[in-house]
Amino acid sequence: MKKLIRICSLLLLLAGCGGLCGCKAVELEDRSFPMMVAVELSDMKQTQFRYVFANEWSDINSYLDYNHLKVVLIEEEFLEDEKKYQDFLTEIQKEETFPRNTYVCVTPDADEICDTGEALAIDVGTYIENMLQTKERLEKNHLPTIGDLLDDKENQMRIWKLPVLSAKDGQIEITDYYQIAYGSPSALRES
Amino acid sequence: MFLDNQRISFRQVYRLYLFSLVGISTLVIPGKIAEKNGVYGVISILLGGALAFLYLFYLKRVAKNMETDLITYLDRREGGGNLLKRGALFYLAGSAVMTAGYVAFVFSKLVQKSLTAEENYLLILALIVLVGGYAVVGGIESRARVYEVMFWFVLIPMFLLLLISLKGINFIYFDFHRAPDYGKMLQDGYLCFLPFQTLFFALLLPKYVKKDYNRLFFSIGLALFCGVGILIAFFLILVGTFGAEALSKMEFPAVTFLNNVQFTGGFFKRLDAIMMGIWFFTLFALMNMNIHYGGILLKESVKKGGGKRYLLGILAVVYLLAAGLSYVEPMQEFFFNFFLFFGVPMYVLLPGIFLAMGRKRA
Repeated sequence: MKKLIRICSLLLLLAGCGGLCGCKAVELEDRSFPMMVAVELSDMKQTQFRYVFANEWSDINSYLDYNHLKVVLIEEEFLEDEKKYQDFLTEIQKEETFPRNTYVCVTPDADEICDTGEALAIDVGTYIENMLQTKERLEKNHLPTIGDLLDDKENQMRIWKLPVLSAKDGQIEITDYYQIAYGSPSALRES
Repeated sequence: MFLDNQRISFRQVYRLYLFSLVGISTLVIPGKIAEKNGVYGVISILLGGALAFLYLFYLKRVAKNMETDLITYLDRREGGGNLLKRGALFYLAGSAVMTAGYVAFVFSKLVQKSLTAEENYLLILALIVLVGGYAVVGGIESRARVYEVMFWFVLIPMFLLLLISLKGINFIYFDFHRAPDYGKMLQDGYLCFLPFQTLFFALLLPKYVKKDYNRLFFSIGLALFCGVGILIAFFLILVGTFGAEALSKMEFPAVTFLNNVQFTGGFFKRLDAIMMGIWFFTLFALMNMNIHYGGILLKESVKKGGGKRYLLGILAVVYLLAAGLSYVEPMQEFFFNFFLFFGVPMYVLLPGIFLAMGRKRA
């Protein structure tokens, strides 16, 4: 009997703790899921993000859940300022904002890519991810992710080639590759 | 119905110890030893492992001389009144509770980081400590049985994980041309010995197993050997995957590693969540071991009876310590330095001192 009371009280206690587990959770309808984040410089030359969401009703004022993020698109102008690039990486490393397996691409004009994406049947983040995954599969190579850039910021041992995206006739395509050499943007391009 | 005579088999000792040694070492050590010496950190692990084996041989000699477990030996030789003995036991109990607090902290952080990122840390911690307390009340035998059953369920995913991750290794990160810093290598060797401090509890185990010291210490030695092997495998794979510098900046490289491994095929896609179980079980085993023996040592040092009330007190202290470690950052460094300069040296010195004290009295 004593044992039964002990087990019951423990179960009650655990259930009590378990009951509290939902208190802090943000409900699904209160979350927004960015599928692509464009990193660019504002008119004041400050780092700014532009988000592309999975649904049109999402907005940046709700809770941003980055778990479905597919692509981080960095504007070329942003990469010209190495300090800004390093600060950006330090910040996302500290905050662990973006998933490490998110693809990273470069573009001369982020707005152009975002606007082109609006005409697509799926969101532009998923579209670019599909494009990159197909390329990886066909060419049997590995395209750089946020995790690769974060690691190389510390290791400074490798050269990563970020796909450069451009929009042409309503289509997004890879024109060439931007080199991040030994942890720093090199401004070098290769096809 | 299962037998409940508080006795465990040598196979259970091996499994219990392997779980206790693998968890915290694979989580904490790789990041700490990679910074200065990169891949040569392996030498530090080997040094730490060699120290642990020496320590185990020393414990075996002490245990053989005592001819029983530490508590019974001290009771027979010293009675209950010796202040020095009681002080030493209290100190050891304190060390065990501090270790349990640290493990509870790492465990809760791990759960928060990998599974329930938005959940309250204190709530996760409360659940872990409560379940830990329940497992300790269940007794060593039921815990040993659980770990015995879970053993392959935990180890097979671990080996699978190591195997899958081999293809992600980049040999450029091994950087064999790096000039090793021998002083740091020695320091790291001692650091690698820290997670093996639980070997000390081998002196309390004879009460729960058949009186065969050779087999008892062989089981623990085997667990230590496998534990060191797994740590080396993990370390090399982590260095090869992330690079030494990046590895040294990570809080829990193993968690980052799990998110990084590409599991192919639909069935394996969400295997990372299951693989977190490797660390959940191993950390749980280590925390319980420390709570269990901390309770025994505390009870013996206070000598006032009180049954399970000690456990409640210990659980409360473990909870407070783990909460403090999360919110008061300097506490982490204090704990680290305590284990480095006081905790582990005393675990090494005290068995010999107890033996000498007992002999003198006899």
